[in-house]
Amino acid sequence: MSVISLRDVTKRYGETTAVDGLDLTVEEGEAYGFLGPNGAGKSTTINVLLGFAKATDGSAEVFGHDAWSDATAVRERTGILPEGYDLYGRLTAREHIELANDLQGADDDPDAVLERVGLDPEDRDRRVGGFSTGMTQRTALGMALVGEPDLLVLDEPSSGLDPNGMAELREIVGEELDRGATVFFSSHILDQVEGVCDRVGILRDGELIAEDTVDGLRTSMGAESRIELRVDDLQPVEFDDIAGVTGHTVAESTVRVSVTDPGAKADVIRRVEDAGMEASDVKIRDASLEDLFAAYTEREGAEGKRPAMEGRA
Amino acid sequence: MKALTVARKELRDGRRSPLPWALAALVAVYVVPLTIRFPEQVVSTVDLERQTTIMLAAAERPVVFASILIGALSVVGERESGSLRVLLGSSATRRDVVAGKLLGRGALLIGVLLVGLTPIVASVYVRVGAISLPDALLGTVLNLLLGLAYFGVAAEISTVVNTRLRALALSLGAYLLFSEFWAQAVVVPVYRLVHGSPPPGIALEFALIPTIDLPRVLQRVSPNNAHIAANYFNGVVDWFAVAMLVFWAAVPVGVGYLRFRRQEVTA
Repeated sequence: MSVISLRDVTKRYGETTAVDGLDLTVEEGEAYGFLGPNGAGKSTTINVLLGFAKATDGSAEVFGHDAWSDATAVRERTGILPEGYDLYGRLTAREHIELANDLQGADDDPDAVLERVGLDPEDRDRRVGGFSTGMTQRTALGMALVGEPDLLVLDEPSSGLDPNGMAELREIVGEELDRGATVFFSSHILDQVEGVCDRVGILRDGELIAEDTVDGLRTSMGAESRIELRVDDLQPVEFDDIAGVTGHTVAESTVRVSVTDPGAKADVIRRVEDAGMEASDVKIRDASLEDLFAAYTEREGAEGKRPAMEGRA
Repeated sequence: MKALTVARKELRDGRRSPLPWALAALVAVYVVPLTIRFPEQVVSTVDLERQTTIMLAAAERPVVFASILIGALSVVGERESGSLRVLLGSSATRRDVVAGKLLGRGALLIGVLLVGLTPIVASVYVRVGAISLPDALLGTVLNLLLGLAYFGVAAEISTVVNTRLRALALSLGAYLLFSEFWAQAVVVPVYRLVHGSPPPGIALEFALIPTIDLPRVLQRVSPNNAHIAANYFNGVVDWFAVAMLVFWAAVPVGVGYLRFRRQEVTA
């Protein structure tokens, strides 16, 4: 069942088209990474999804409800970490969670929620006006998690979070997915959705220019992963017959193989072992989404037109 | 129920802000010296009821100022900061949010005015040596109604504009229109439209003559004039004037909500 369904959604502000004919579907239980540089139209799309803004054309439905005219029904089942928000500086973190409880009709334990988002006990009764950006973000994330929402919309959730905080955020997203929630995760920092999201869409200038799994995007872009094996006893070995292998080098005690198909990595490692070599260390460097995004937009620029949507679902 | 949640949040947040306390102090500090130094000829020539009424009516300007500040920042303050997106991101409806904010801020304003007016009542007692409690009560209630009328106007503006500065400027503009230019900008043109000639000067003396005719009715549409009229008809409540104060407290807010309901809330 589709949780989010956007059909040909266009949003214009005067002469400016922020989102142009966007089709997008997110299925129940899925983690969808919504990627794109700042100004691509991500927040506008989220504003349309949450009933903060009305689509100029097209239809936007969440849980089968019209996102604008039936926004309250949507938000009853949605936890939101919006972009460009602010909290109430004179209220404490605990009072914010209590406020979210009352507004969502939930009865979550504020301490448990704040513990989960990593806010220290001594900070929970402090007014949020004195919080750092990261602590504010943790409090807002806690508010979004209240009431076990069926859909979690996170708009640039990593703002202000240090690497530890980012790792905790990934863990929380994983837990939410495990209990069956759907996650819509927007970011301009592409690596952040990697490992979290089942599927990603790349938005640019208001248009979805690619949509696929992370691996699918890599394959469609021909982006290479590199496998580096340190072996004890170097033996002759060939990889050319493995589909997806683009080349290899052997130097001293290290075998380096480049592949474009993620599925080829296991075959490469097996081939090394079959050749009688014992790998003492294996390193795999996948092309990051940053690489992919750059490759995608560069290719678009080079061709002067939208790229083929090989990987698009 | 969610409106009450928003109202409780508003009250809790407001109580911790220095602004309401500063406004209560402003009301008292502005009026108490006026009361203490009230001209002897006025004090000695009118009865106790009148003295009480006149001295409490002197609070009009700071009451309006405090009400505008609290009303004008109500919704646009949250819109500008971004906290409105957190409130509207919950399952609270826009009606819950507007009703809750107005309930909370309205209650805060009543608290501010009561705290500010109490020293004024005390100062009247000190100045005159006695006080008419019914008139002190009536004067206080009319000050509260005046405050709520301006709160309603300012809150309506606050729901439809995008910046605090614009909300404050428009609210103060409304005050200037009602207090300084109402007769020339509204009463005279409407009278001329109906009768084909400007009203005689005496017709603008709305408060002193309890006659119901067009200029006097139009004059009392202004909340400032309604406040004065309601105070001046000593012993007889001018229900039309009171109704106009209630009108300004309620109707603009309703209009503001209808516009806010269809507004986009973007960062």
